[in-house]
Amino acid sequence: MTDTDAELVFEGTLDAPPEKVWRALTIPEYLERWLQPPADLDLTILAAEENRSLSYRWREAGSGDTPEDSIVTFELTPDGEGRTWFRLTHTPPSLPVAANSNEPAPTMMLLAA
Amino acid sequence: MGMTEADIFKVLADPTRRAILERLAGAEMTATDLREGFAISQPAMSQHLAVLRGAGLVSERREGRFVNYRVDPSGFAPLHQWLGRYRAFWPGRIDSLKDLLKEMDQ
Repeated sequence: MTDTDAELVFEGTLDAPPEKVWRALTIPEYLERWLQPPADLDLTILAAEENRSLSYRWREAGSGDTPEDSIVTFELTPDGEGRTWFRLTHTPPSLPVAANSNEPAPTMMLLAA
Repeated sequence: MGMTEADIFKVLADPTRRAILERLAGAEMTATDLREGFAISQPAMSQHLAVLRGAGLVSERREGRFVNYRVDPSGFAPLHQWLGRYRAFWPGRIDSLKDLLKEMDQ
Protein backbone atom coordinates (compact mmCIF):
# COMPACT_ATOMS: atom_id res chain seq x y z
CA MET A 1 0.00 0.00 0.00
CA THR A 2 1.22 3.50 -0.79
CA ASP A 3 -0.06 6.96 -0.04
CA THR A 4 -0.31 7.69 -3.75
CA ASP A 5 -3.49 5.68 -4.20
CA ALA A 6 -6.00 5.98 -1.45
CA GLU A 7 -9.67 6.37 -0.91
CA LEU A 8 -11.70 6.69 2.24
CA VAL A 9 -14.03 3.88 3.23
CA PHE A 10 -16.48 3.97 6.12
CA GLU A 11 -18.70 1.02 6.91
CA GLY A 12 -21.00 -0.24 9.57
CA THR A 13 -24.54 -1.35 10.40
CA LEU A 14 -27.51 1.01 10.23
CA ASP A 15 -30.58 0.15 12.27
CA ALA A 16 -33.02 0.48 9.37
CA PRO A 17 -33.83 -1.54 6.23
CA PRO A 18 -32.13 -0.54 2.93
CA GLU A 19 -35.38 0.94 1.57
CA LYS A 20 -35.47 3.45 4.40
CA VAL A 21 -31.76 4.26 4.19
CA TRP A 22 -32.24 4.75 0.44
CA ARG A 23 -34.83 7.45 1.12
CA ALA A 24 -32.48 9.20 3.55
CA LEU A 25 -29.81 9.23 0.84
CA THR A 26 -31.94 10.33 -2.11
CA ILE A 27 -34.76 12.59 -0.89
CA PRO A 28 -33.17 16.08 -0.89
CA GLU A 29 -34.90 17.20 2.30
CA TYR A 30 -33.54 14.18 4.21
CA LEU A 31 -30.13 14.41 2.57
CA GLU A 32 -29.77 18.07 3.62
CA ARG A 33 -30.66 17.22 7.18
CA TRP A 34 -28.01 14.63 7.87
CA LEU A 35 -25.33 15.71 5.38
CA GLN A 36 -25.43 19.45 6.14
CA PRO A 37 -23.65 20.03 2.81
CA PRO A 38 -20.91 22.68 2.68
CA ALA A 39 -22.11 25.88 0.97
CA ASP A 40 -20.06 25.42 -2.20
CA LEU A 41 -21.01 21.79 -2.71
CA ASP A 42 -22.67 20.64 -5.94
CA LEU A 43 -24.03 17.08 -5.89
CA THR A 44 -25.00 15.16 -9.02
CA ILE A 45 -26.15 11.55 -9.17
CA LEU A 46 -23.74 9.53 -11.35
CA ALA A 47 -25.25 6.08 -10.89
CA ALA A 48 -28.13 4.65 -8.95
CA GLU A 49 -29.42 1.16 -8.33
CA GLU A 50 -32.47 1.51 -6.13
CA ASN A 51 -31.99 0.35 -2.52
CA ARG A 52 -28.53 -1.05 -3.36
CA SER A 53 -26.02 1.52 -4.51
CA LEU A 54 -25.76 5.20 -5.24
CA SER A 55 -22.90 7.36 -6.51
CA TYR A 56 -22.73 11.13 -6.30
CA ARG A 57 -20.30 13.39 -8.05
CA TRP A 58 -19.14 15.62 -5.22
CA ARG A 59 -18.02 18.94 -6.72
CA GLU A 60 -16.42 21.65 -4.60
CA ALA A 61 -14.83 24.96 -5.44
CA GLY A 62 -11.45 23.53 -4.38
CA SER A 63 -8.24 25.37 -3.66
CA GLY A 64 -7.39 26.34 -7.28
CA ASP A 65 -9.32 27.84 -10.19
CA THR A 66 -10.89 24.57 -11.27
CA PRO A 67 -13.57 22.79 -9.27
CA GLU A 68 -12.60 19.53 -7.60
CA ASP A 69 -14.70 16.51 -8.39
CA SER A 70 -14.60 13.54 -6.12
CA ILE A 71 -16.97 10.58 -6.00
CA VAL A 72 -19.05 9.43 -3.06
CA THR A 73 -20.57 5.97 -3.33
CA PHE A 74 -23.04 4.41 -0.89
CA GLU A 75 -23.56 0.66 -0.95
CA LEU A 76 -26.46 -0.89 0.97
CA THR A 77 -26.81 -4.57 1.80
CA PRO A 78 -29.71 -6.02 3.81
CA ASP A 79 -28.46 -8.01 6.80
CA GLY A 80 -31.53 -10.29 6.87
CA GLU A 81 -32.71 -8.88 10.22
CA GLY A 82 -34.21 -5.63 8.98
CA ARG A 83 -30.97 -3.69 9.20
CA THR A 84 -28.50 -2.47 6.59
CA TRP A 85 -24.81 -3.03 6.11
CA PHE A 86 -23.65 0.38 4.93
CA ARG A 87 -20.47 1.15 3.04
CA LEU A 88 -19.44 4.67 2.03
CA THR A 89 -16.49 5.17 -0.32
CA HIS A 90 -15.11 8.65 -0.98
CA THR A 91 -12.64 8.66 -3.87
CA PRO A 92 -10.34 11.70 -4.15
CA PRO A 93 -10.40 13.82 -7.33
CA SER A 94 -7.20 12.20 -8.59
CA LEU A 95 -8.67 8.74 -8.81
CA PRO A 96 -11.44 8.51 -11.38
CA VAL A 97 -13.05 5.18 -10.49
CA ALA A 98 -14.13 4.17 -14.00
CA ALA A 99 -10.64 4.65 -15.47
CA ASN A 100 -9.12 2.48 -12.83
CA SER A 101 -11.77 -0.14 -12.16
CA ASN A 102 -9.71 -3.16 -13.27
CA GLU A 103 -7.05 -2.31 -10.74
CA PRO A 104 -8.65 -1.68 -7.37
CA ALA A 105 -6.91 0.95 -5.28
CA PRO A 106 -5.72 -0.07 -1.84
CA THR A 107 -8.15 1.37 0.63
CA MET A 108 -7.84 2.93 4.00
CA MET A 109 -10.43 1.13 6.06
CA LEU A 110 -12.21 3.08 8.73
CA LEU A 111 -15.00 1.66 10.80
CA ALA A 112 -18.01 3.90 10.94
CA ALA A 113 -19.78 2.00 13.66
CA MET B 1 6.63 25.18 -4.59
CA GLY B 2 3.18 26.65 -4.99
CA MET B 3 1.37 23.53 -6.12
CA THR B 4 -2.26 23.69 -5.12
CA GLU B 5 -4.37 20.70 -4.20
CA ALA B 6 -6.01 20.94 -7.63
CA ASP B 7 -2.62 20.92 -9.41
CA ILE B 8 -1.54 17.80 -7.54
CA PHE B 9 -4.80 16.07 -8.35
CA LYS B 10 -4.33 16.90 -12.03
CA VAL B 11 -0.86 15.34 -12.01
CA LEU B 12 -2.18 12.26 -10.21
CA ALA B 13 -5.15 11.90 -12.58
CA ASP B 14 -2.90 10.21 -15.15
CA PRO B 15 -2.91 6.41 -14.65
CA THR B 16 0.64 6.00 -16.01
CA ARG B 17 1.95 8.56 -13.54
CA ARG B 18 0.15 6.79 -10.72
CA ALA B 19 1.69 3.48 -11.85
CA ILE B 20 5.15 5.10 -11.90
CA LEU B 21 4.62 6.32 -8.33
CA GLU B 22 3.47 2.85 -7.28
CA ARG B 23 6.72 1.36 -8.56
CA LEU B 24 8.88 4.09 -7.06
CA ALA B 25 7.15 3.69 -3.70
CA GLY B 26 8.92 0.35 -3.29
CA ALA B 27 12.43 1.40 -4.29
CA GLU B 28 14.61 4.09 -5.80
CA MET B 29 15.04 3.42 -9.55
CA THR B 30 16.66 4.76 -12.69
CA ALA B 31 14.44 5.75 -15.63
CA THR B 32 15.63 2.64 -17.48
CA ASP B 33 14.65 0.31 -14.60
CA LEU B 34 11.36 2.10 -14.33
CA ARG B 35 10.50 1.65 -17.98
CA GLU B 36 10.54 -2.18 -17.66
CA GLY B 37 6.99 -3.41 -17.78
CA PHE B 38 5.68 -0.11 -19.15
CA ALA B 39 4.79 0.05 -22.85
CA ILE B 40 6.02 3.63 -23.20
CA SER B 41 8.98 5.21 -24.94
CA GLN B 42 12.00 6.70 -23.22
CA PRO B 43 10.90 10.29 -24.06
CA ALA B 44 7.40 9.59 -22.72
CA MET B 45 8.87 8.25 -19.48
CA SER B 46 11.13 11.32 -19.21
CA GLN B 47 8.13 13.55 -19.74
CA HIS B 48 6.14 11.83 -16.97
CA LEU B 49 9.12 12.02 -14.60
CA ALA B 50 9.53 15.72 -15.39
CA VAL B 51 5.86 16.36 -14.54
CA LEU B 52 6.15 14.35 -11.33
CA ARG B 53 9.32 16.21 -10.35
CA GLY B 54 7.71 19.54 -11.17
CA ALA B 55 4.84 18.67 -8.87
CA GLY B 56 7.27 17.77 -6.09
CA LEU B 57 6.02 14.17 -5.98
CA VAL B 58 9.31 12.67 -7.13
CA SER B 59 12.89 13.73 -6.45
CA GLU B 60 16.10 12.69 -8.19
CA ARG B 61 19.53 11.74 -6.93
CA ARG B 62 22.55 11.68 -9.26
CA GLU B 63 25.07 8.90 -8.89
CA GLY B 64 27.83 9.10 -11.49
CA ARG B 65 26.12 8.86 -14.88
CA PHE B 66 22.92 7.47 -13.39
CA VAL B 67 19.97 9.39 -12.09
CA ASN B 68 17.91 7.67 -9.44
CA TYR B 69 14.30 8.62 -8.88
CA ARG B 70 12.34 8.26 -5.69
CA VAL B 71 9.00 9.30 -4.22
CA ASP B 72 9.11 12.58 -2.30
CA PRO B 73 6.58 12.07 0.50
CA SER B 74 6.27 15.80 1.27
CA GLY B 75 4.73 16.35 -2.18
CA PHE B 76 1.70 14.34 -1.12
CA ALA B 77 0.69 16.82 1.57
CA PRO B 78 -2.31 18.15 -0.45
CA LEU B 79 -3.67 14.64 -0.94
CA HIS B 80 -3.20 13.96 2.76
CA GLN B 81 -4.98 17.21 3.57
CA TRP B 82 -7.91 16.16 1.41
CA LEU B 83 -8.04 12.73 3.02
CA GLY B 84 -7.72 14.29 6.48
CA ARG B 85 -10.55 16.70 5.80
CA TYR B 86 -12.98 13.97 4.82
CA ARG B 87 -11.75 11.49 7.40
CA ALA B 88 -12.90 14.11 9.90
CA PHE B 89 -16.05 15.03 7.97
CA TRP B 90 -17.85 11.72 7.55
CA PRO B 91 -18.11 10.13 11.04
CA GLY B 92 -20.25 13.00 12.36
CA ARG B 93 -22.44 12.91 9.24
CA ILE B 94 -22.94 9.17 9.58
CA ASP B 95 -24.02 9.73 13.21
CA SER B 96 -26.51 12.33 11.95
CA LEU B 97 -27.80 9.81 9.39
CA LYS B 98 -28.37 7.31 12.20
CA ASP B 99 -30.28 9.94 14.19
CA LEU B 100 -32.39 10.84 11.16
CA LEU B 101 -33.24 7.17 10.51
CA LYS B 102 -34.65 6.97 14.06
CA GLU B 103 -36.90 9.97 13.40
CA MET B 104 -38.14 8.96 9.95
CA ASP B 105 -41.43 7.11 9.42
CA GLN B 106 -41.09 3.56 8.18
